[in-house]
Amino acid sequence: MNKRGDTNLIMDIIIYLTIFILFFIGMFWFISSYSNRSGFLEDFYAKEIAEVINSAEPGMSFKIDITPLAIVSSKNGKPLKDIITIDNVNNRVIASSKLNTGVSFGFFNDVDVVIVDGGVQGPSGGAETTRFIFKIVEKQRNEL
Amino acid sequence: MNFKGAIGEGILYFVFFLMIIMIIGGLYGGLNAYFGKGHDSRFEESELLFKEAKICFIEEGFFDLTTALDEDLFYEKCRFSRELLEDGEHMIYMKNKNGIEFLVGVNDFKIRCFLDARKDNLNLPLCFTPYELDGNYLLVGSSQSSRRVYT
Repeated sequence: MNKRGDTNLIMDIIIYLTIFILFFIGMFWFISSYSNRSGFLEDFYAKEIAEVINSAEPGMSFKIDITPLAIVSSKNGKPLKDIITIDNVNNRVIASSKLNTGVSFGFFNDVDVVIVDGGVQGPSGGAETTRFIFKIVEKQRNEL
Repeated sequence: MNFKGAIGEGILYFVFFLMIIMIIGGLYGGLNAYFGKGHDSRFEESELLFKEAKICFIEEGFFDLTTALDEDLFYEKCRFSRELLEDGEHMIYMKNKNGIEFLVGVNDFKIRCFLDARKDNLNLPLCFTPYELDGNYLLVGSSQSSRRVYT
């Protein structure tokens, strides 16, 4: 009885399944690395902080709880002090939970935002209860 | 006819299609988790911009003008960022009771504000309900979405 064909079929299936399992593990790793909602949190906090700035008057100070973003950032190895930055030249809030990338959103209120006490603070020493502290001041124009 | 192995072959096809579905589902889920639609703030921004613009137009008497409103004067008095309002994602349109029109931002938003697809299409503006008071008309819209930046 000739069984050579059967052996080839089994080998094909083993190779096929091995490749699939490796691919699936890779996919799972890729998805799980992004499933912490870091993209959503960056987007959310950039927009919310911009909205606060838009409705503010010069002289006002704010403390905003950004704990969810800080927790994700610390898992990604991003220093807490760099997760929220303000670009006063282009009127943009930048939220970043990963190294070298982030999300920016513009504010239409023509004011400057001054970061107070280093900006992002975690009183507990960790990512928990992290706050972003800033103050609104009059636009400082560079007269030529 | 030889039916030997037909059931096994059929099961293999089922497994194959199941794998395809799982892979596509995984890709979709992963990409959506990271690049998903996110938080749509177009309407909130329009509403806020509308309120600020309305207060400014009333306080500065722009609704009573009988001559064209100067853009520089508008930005100076209303304290809006020129760079942002002229970035192609915002519009403020006013037509006062004397027929004086004033517009900053994207002119075409006057039409796009009323397109049916505006709620689902994030590239279209969401606008605050047109305001009419004593013959003055104010329409404000925003299509701003967040931008990914690399530092």
